[in-house]
Amino acid sequence: MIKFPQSLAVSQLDDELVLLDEKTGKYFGLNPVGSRIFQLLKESGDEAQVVAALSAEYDAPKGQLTADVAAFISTLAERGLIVDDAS
Amino acid sequence: MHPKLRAIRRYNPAVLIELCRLWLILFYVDVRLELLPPRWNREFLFRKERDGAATPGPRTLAKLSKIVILLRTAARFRLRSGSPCLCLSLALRERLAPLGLRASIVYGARKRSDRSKGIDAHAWLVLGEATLDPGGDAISFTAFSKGLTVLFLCRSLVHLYR
Repeated sequence: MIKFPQSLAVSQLDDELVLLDEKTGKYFGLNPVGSRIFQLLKESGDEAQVVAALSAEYDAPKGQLTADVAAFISTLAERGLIVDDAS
Repeated sequence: MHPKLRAIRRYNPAVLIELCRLWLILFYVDVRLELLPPRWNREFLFRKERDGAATPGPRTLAKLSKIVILLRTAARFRLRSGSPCLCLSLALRERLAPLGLRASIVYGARKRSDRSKGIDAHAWLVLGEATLDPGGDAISFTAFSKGLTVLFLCRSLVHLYR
């Protein structure tokens, strides 16, 4: 189950999101696809559900979507923008 | 005499005292942001006033705009030049607190208009429904919030009712 820290604030600019990490004061821009993945993660917190939702929206092989979502989550984790809650 | 100092000579003593006070607050903010590690400044940078502050009346707003003008004047004598909107907003918040005006700092972002795909960030204050922006044009920025779910829910409802 993926959760986002309390310190994360979000600003929506058209179809893109900007994330502000209040712990570090850094902010990060997400492109439209990243913003959609972030939104789905925020709604479900489940990587498999995000991939399923994206396969319905984008004309891309499931394997590629799975890899892209995993890479996105890994990038968020590297920057301390998600809390990976195993429970 | 330096032109900046020459310009100050036309102020009356009360205004000069206020200018000195604002400069000292700016100095405090600058030193704090420059020297302390981010985790020690977290509360300072992101503190939100829990009780919703009342919107100031016209007389208070007039007083506030005078303080903002003096703050901008004091900022011309700052010792460092980075993050002017952030330092000005924090300094204004610190100045207003002893007056019983508990303003909260707001951060916002906007896309750059020159299509360089960059993002500009800005900081300003809110006091009730009033916006106090000593450092720029807050109106063109979208504030950061933690209510993304509500935001997307609202957007979904808009699509449903179209």
